[in-house]
Amino acid sequence: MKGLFSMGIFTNVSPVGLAIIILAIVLVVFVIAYVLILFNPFKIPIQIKARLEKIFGMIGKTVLIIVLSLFFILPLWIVIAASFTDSIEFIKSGYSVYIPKFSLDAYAYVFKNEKILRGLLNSVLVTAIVTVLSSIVNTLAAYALSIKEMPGNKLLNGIFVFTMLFAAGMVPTVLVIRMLGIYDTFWALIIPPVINVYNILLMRNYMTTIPKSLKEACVIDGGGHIRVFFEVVLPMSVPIIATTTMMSFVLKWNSYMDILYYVAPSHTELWTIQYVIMDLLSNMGAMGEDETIISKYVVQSATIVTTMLPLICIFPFLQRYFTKGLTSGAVKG
Amino acid sequence: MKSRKPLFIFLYFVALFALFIGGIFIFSNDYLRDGKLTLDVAVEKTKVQEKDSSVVDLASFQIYFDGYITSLNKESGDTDYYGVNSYKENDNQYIASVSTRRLDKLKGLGFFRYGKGSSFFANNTTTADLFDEIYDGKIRNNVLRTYQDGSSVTYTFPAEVRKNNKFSVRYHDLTNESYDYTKEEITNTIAKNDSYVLYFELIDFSLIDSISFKLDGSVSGVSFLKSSAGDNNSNIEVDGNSITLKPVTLYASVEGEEVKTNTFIGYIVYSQRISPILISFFVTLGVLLLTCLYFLIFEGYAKIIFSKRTLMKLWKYRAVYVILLPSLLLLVLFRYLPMIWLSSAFMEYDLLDGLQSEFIGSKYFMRIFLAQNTAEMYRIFRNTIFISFIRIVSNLPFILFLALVINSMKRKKVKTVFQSLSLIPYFLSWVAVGGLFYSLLNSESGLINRLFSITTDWYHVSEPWWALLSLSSLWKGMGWSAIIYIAGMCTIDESLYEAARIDGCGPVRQAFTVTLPGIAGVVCLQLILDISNIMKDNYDQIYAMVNGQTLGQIQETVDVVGRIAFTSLRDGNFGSATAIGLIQGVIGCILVIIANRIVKKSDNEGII
Repeated sequence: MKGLFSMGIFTNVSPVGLAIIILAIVLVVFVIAYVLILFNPFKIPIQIKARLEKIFGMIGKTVLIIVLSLFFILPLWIVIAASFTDSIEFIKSGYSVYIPKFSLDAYAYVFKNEKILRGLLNSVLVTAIVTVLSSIVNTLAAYALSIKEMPGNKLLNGIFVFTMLFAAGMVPTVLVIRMLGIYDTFWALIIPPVINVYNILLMRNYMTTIPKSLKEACVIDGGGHIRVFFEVVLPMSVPIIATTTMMSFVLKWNSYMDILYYVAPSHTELWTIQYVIMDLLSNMGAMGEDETIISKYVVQSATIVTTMLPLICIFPFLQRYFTKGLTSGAVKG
Repeated sequence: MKSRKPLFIFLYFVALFALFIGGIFIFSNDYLRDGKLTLDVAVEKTKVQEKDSSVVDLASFQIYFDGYITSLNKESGDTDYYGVNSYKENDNQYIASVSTRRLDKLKGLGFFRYGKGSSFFANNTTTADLFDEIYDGKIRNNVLRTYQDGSSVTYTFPAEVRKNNKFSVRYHDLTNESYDYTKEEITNTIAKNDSYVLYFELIDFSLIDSISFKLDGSVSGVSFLKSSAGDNNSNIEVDGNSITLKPVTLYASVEGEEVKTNTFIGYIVYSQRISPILISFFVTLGVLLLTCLYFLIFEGYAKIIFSKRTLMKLWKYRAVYVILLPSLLLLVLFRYLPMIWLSSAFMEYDLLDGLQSEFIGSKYFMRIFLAQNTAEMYRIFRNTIFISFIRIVSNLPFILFLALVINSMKRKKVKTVFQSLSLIPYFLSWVAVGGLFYSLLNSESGLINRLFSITTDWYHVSEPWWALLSLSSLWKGMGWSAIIYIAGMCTIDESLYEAARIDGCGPVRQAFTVTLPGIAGVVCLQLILDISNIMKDNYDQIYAMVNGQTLGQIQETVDVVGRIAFTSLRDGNFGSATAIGLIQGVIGCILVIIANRIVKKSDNEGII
């Protein structure tokens, strides 16, 4: 780790940088003061101590939340800002928190560029298909595995769980895909990812916590297992199904490794958007459509922002399911 | 009484799998397809004594011939392409039994070519051209031979071999004793059925009387020499599946001077047996069926399984089995089927040969642990483990901290907004995160470098990367990981907090004395889970964050197991990558099992 400590000379620290350094020092002083007050080595009387604690606590908490929020948002904001920046300005000044000169050039480029649009289309198609398919397949499998009285249940569970213990690895999987003849085709992007044993296990664990009485009530009413599933288990498992569907969606939308391994390098029509972004930096020229100079970094930022949009849209709707879904069945009590 | 049945069943299937994989190798024999051939090379005693007077008996011949073999190996590029199994002698010959591996790679003798008939004669292949040449009585122009003392000679065969040696190579079809095929008829006959062709051109063997070998397959035809004199003499003798090659005298020129050479030239057409994979599969199936039968009949399972009760039970659940089917099918296809290809770790895998590629046993594994690539292997495994370990250890405090902060927030709206903010990074892809970190850290336009005027080039130096990878994992995964802990914190009894408050604990103190101990169980569970996944490198993180060129520069810290898989798929050495992946998988499996045991012992439910 020596490199970390041999920083360059702080010659031309910008004013903003200086401000941040000063703020950091203030923060450290604050924390030291807080700690001192807490542990009270100077024996300040209790009432004053309590009051000081309260004030410091409130300030501290607010500051903390602000700092943490910035920590999460800032890197993203920088990229968003860069995407709206005029390229010439960007080449001069680099990444920053504010937008030196607003411009939609990058977005114009993005939405006119065939490769990017094709990538977006592919991503949408692939993700939609995989999410729907895997939701269905995995939920059904989870239900089947959750029925403890079914003969062979233990064996079947074992078969599924074993694949989480031991995986054959990337190379054998690619070789199988070649053998199946789906290498370098659209099918290779949508068929293998459908099965996700982690999701199945999550759902199975959740389903086993559904009270038996409900299931039995349905059986008494003359229902078979399928009816139990649709009338009792499915409605009650909505949180976990929503969670795993969303996890599937995010995973597939963000994946680029499948293109890397399953598609031949020259076959660019199959690329999904993430791979296009990766490729963007190496292959993009410096000229825009109408001879305007456009920076590939700005375009990359614009594309990244575009890929984030669907997720940001879906996210608020499903957020309330996460906590409930992820944790029932995982934590005892 | 703990039931050990699942363990036995598991071991049984492992054994069955091993049998299948092993069977592929066992039943595939020393087949020429693998490039293995054992040749009996007969050298005439008087001739070799003329060449090197020290060779007077078998022992001195051994020394002489060993040196010769060494030079051939050196020429061919690998120390075990040629080997000598044994030496014998009879009245006028010394006989060395030479074993070869990778006939197609041998150099220094001339060469062998072998392959399926259909691809051998396909248009525009070098093999089809070779065949054309000798049919017309020509052979290749220049042949380079290297001798054991390091010297080399180039033989030039004139386009048409000298008149008094003019020959052409025809095909003797042994199945119907036919000698008169045209070129097209030959190629059609050979190419149409599942035949293999072994073509050889071995140059300048003044000392060698004959070369014999066995082919494991039935010979359907051989080449023979048709000389201008009109007689058909074959330099290939076939006896069952024993082949003996006799030399042909050809004139060549070496540096302008005419030289007589003893040449072995021609081709053999033979057909293959049933695929060893099929044989192995049926044998394994047979074993499985036999054990099932045994249990059915002798252990009385027949009564249970085929009883009306069980059948009724199965019927009752028929719908459930049906809905399980698609996922089971996919599981077998994409999780279990690849396991068969794990056998490629023991082969020099070739895309064309597939699973029938040459068996080399544990050569890759030896390479990993011993000689050549040890430094590289050490670095790969060390990096994988270190990166995971540093990530786990350094991220935990921060994740817990975030969980504490979120848990202690009272106002609902602020809490939801803040938690949502913390989850935003989770939704970004590693490609996007790579771009983000680049925007912050790159040496020219990166924000941090510009603000603080740091001139260090973080990105292209090895050392910071362990920290960078940890940091990016933290930033991306913090919100998501914290959820589990927050949920755990919700279950802590309120009264404990009351008690702490009464005792005068501020919020910070409470966190340390009530909250953290309260979720200790969850934390341990997560930790054990994470550590058991230590061998899993997050290669999509690494590949996305480090663009191609830098990857080479920062190899010291960032080279991980996944990289081997990646480069191997580009370069084609599948076998070694599978071997490394196999090691990774086995270690990971053992770790998970241990972790699960530990978790079970502490009264929790276990992950599995």
